[in-house]
Amino acid sequence: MPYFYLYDTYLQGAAYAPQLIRLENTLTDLGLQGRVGRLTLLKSVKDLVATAIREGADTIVGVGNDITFSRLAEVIAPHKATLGLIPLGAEQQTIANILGIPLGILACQVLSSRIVANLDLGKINNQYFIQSIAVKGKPNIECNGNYKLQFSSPQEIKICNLDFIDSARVSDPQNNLLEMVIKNSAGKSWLPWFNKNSTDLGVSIIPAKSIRLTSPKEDLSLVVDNHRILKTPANIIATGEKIKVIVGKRRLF
Amino acid sequence: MFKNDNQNGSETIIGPSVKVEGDFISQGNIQVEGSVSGTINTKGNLQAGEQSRINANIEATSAYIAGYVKGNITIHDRLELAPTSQINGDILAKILVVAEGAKLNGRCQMGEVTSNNISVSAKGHKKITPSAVEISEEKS
Repeated sequence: MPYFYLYDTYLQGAAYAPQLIRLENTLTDLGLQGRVGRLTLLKSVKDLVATAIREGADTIVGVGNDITFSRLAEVIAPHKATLGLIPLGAEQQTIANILGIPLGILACQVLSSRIVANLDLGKINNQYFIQSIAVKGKPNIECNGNYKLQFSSPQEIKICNLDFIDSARVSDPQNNLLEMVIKNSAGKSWLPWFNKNSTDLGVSIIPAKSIRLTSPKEDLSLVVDNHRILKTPANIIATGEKIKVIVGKRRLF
Repeated sequence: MFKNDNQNGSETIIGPSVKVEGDFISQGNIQVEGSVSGTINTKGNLQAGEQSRINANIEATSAYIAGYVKGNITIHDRLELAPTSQINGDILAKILVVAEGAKLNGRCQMGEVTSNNISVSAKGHKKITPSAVEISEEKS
């Protein structure tokens, strides 16, 4: 089963060199060795993955964090390859947590066990996304073509596919729905929701298959998968398309 | 929907800062703390809080209403009206529980909800037969 490992750019630092050596040794011991590609300013994810798939790789493993995983998911979506993740570094490891993948070398055991789940993919303006979309302000929102949402004050809106909707719950990435979480910008951060009634803080949770975001007065910025920024208007849909992802036994869905 | 449902089991929460306009159709439970205009139709349960304002025809399996509703209510199982509730519209429910203090202006029909006692209007909205009584406007 040919593997291809894609190292994110931030792993080029000397601090990660010993971890990468141990990682490669562990993968070899487990019989999971494969070609390695390193992201640089001159090498895009799309080119590296396309080359790897053309050369026969059927399992693409991102070595990095949420952004590495999301960028790979966008590229792999049209192909039939399976996506894996080895989370290295402590920052932006939300997806690893949800997928039940431990940080560092322990993630190799998850790869070895190879439990594969089919996860939903979303699209925003015809571009794939997998984690979530965040926007602040008072956009006009139309859901499923059936109803509209209006707000009396600016809101923090997060449209989740594979993300935490609060500190205790994750959105279900296998129900072919997007969960829209709306809360007052004036409210507290996401974390204090835990152990409180959501409505006390003005929180709304609305599942939808399609969401249209517009802003008649000024363009609002949408942060897609924590690394891409798009402007309104935006059409966001749960595509019904799936991506094969290697998950751990301790996944949160 | 969610791996771990929240305390009251709701899957959709319409918070106090949100106003919904249109046909809100759901397969799961709905909790309303804000405003809804149009139609609410769910195969799950509806819970409307004290601050909720619903100008919509409602159809659900069960409902607990503590806020203001202007519209016809069709409940296939149990409808409970809290002391703070104010209903301006007709009710069709299998079981009706009305707390002391609840305001109900409309016709009540008890028993099994069948297609015979719900007619569909030209717009597709369900109406309760016999014909609806006149609904008095809320005096705020």
